[in-house]
Amino acid sequence: MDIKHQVLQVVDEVLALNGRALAFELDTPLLGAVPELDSMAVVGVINLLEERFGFYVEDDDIDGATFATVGSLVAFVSGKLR
Amino acid sequence: MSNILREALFLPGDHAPGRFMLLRRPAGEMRGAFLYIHPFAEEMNRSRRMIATAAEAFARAGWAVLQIDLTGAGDSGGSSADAGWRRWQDDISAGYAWLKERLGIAPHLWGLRAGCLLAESWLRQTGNAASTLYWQPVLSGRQHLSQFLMLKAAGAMGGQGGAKAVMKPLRERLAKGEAVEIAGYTLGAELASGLEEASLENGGHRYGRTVVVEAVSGERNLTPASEEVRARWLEAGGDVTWEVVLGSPFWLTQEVTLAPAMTARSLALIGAWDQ
Repeated sequence: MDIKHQVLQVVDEVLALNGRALAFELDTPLLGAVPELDSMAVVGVINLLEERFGFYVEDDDIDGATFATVGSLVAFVSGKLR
Repeated sequence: MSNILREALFLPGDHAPGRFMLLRRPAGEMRGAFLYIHPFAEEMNRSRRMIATAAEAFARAGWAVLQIDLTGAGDSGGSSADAGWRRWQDDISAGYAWLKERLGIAPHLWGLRAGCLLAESWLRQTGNAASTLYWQPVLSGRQHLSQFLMLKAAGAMGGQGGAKAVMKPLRERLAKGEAVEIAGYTLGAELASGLEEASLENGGHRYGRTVVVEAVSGERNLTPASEEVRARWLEAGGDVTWEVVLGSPFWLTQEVTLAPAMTARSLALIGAWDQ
């Protein structure tokens, strides 16, 4: 399973970036750098990741660093799937 | 194809001016009727356009659709502080009774997201044998509540302490029976616990038929969670058809998006539900 591609697909869909997110690299910054990523969108991304991948985000799982870059978000999802 | 008749009204309730309802029905022959139950909070707002276009398409295809805005949501009376799980069950009962009386037929239920949990809860409580059309059902009310509480945490995420520092006091207040403020909504403890306890994880109702339609962007496979619920539901003897179509997650996208394939596939699947 290509986790990075699926994560970017979710980001792209929630933020309505029309495929722009699919070109993001692991070091592409997210929170604070992508203007569409407000708090509502952060939760939308979490929401869709949970439902697509079938994991459950606990209260102490995430903080701002989770959404710092594409790489940190992919690492978070990989960790949840382990 | 036929013309559509539209009717908007307030059904009297505890909070003036009552519960806002919008009925669309075919001018010609009617094949059946749906009571539509909307999602929770922002998901309701984001799905407005999609549901309006779908309801129009349903009516053109011969199906009447009654949309009811639950108390404290949308255009009904009351504020979000007046919303409640039991109150919403009462709203569904009132809308259902009105539609049944108005059209003289037993309606089906159509839910989106948390609206499916409300429908399940209502069916269980009333013993009603209505068939159901579920769009992208929330499977776990507990998870859905967490996602909503997370809105507040996400707003503070630039700061220190992570989500837990925000989530913990919210959960404590709800546990004490107090309301919390999140993203402009007042969430009462009774509504939170009703939502938290609602679930489709062990399958759904056993009477009547159910069609579930979900939208995905990539591969058209059921998610593992959906597959599991479907299997449990069938195992329990439920009559459930569960399908996935290509479409945008319109209930949570930042911009208004649509998933027309959900409408088209649903109409094809409920085609066998004629009275």
